[in-house]
Amino acid sequence: MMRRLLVLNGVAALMVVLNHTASYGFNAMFFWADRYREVSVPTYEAIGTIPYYILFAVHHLVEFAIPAFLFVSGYFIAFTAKTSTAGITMDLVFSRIKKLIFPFIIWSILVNVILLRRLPPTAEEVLQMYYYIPLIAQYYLLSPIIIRIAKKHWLLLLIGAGLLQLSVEFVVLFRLLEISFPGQEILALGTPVWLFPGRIFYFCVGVVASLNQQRFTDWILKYRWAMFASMVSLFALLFVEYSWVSKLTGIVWLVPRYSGVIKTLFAMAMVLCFFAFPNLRIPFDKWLSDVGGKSFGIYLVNTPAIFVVAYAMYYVTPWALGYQIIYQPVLIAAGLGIPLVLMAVFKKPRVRRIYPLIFG
Amino acid sequence: MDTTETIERFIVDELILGERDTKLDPDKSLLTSGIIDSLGLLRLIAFLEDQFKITVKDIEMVPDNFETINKIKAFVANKI
Repeated sequence: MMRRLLVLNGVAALMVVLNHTASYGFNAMFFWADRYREVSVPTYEAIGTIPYYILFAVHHLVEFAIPAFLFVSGYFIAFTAKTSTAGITMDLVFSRIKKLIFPFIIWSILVNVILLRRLPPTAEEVLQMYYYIPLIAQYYLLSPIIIRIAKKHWLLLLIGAGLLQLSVEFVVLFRLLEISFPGQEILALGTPVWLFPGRIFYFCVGVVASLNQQRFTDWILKYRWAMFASMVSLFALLFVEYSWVSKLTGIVWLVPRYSGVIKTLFAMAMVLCFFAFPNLRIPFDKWLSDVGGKSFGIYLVNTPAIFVVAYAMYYVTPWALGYQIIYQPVLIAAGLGIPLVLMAVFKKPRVRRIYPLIFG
Repeated sequence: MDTTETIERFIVDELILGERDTKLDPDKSLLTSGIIDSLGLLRLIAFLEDQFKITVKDIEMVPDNFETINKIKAFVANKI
């Protein structure tokens, strides 16, 4: 299982890149189409085409990336808690958060101020850009309580965290459907993507899995085929849910505003399936492990890297925006290659001192 | 390089990116002190498996085996 965790991190890092390149793919289809053909934008003519469905499938498939990172983080914070009777100390929590702060500030400034020219950016814009970082910081801060509850009432913890997370998704859904209910305004406060209720379930599953490692492994193996079938079914249901909500709201392009309720279940099923078939050799697992070890740096750098290359192509080779078969590989190479090259450069002796400030 | 030095070098060079002559206390907790985080521990285990040609089983993935450099060394010595 241990090796799988690193490979999972590597796969998740790749998925983060693919998620962002798919977003730019949709940009090229809907909002930048006037750069390569005679049409007014936005245009949604590409909806229903094969490139659209491929990007759509990719976009939903990669939804498990952040859940995977959170699962792994939850797993290891609980693992560390086992090393001492004191459990997780606030010193440890703050030492973990400290490693996140400087990269967050540096890359937030680079992206928000220099690339996006937000002068100044709002707090929401800053927190949303690299939302994983404020999110994991909150989970680290909550981890002493989460671990304490997990040790005594793990099932209650999972049910509570699951309900809390799903309720956030339902609040977003009801808001889109313009359905009012009591307490809506208060509950809506918990919906920002960087706030802890929205993804707490994934972190808690990681914690519980770590504290009950053998039981978790046995359970996963016992129900692996059911898990696999669930994952496939839920993936199909993602499309059904999307179509249904799109029809009900009349919003043609729903992706930026709604990620779905079923996504929570699908993402978790996908993460668990990763461990359900331990004898199944994952292709390029050694390379994925290596990528997994660099996942945080990839997460930080891929956003500006893809942004720069996408806009360079927008201005210099606009015709390529109309060919996803060219556009996507270029963006993927940038989103993965540039972070890896930068990290290798900053590991050189003369500059390695600042590596932790930039890449965590 | 002996086992302790090999492990220490990996932690200093790859995980904490310290200077070449950085020395770590072999009995200091790598986990609770925050020297190694989750990714670092996974990378360390992958390194130990590749370097010393051992396999770390899930059941051996307990803090006792990886908390300090000396404990890691003892774990590796038992496996070789």
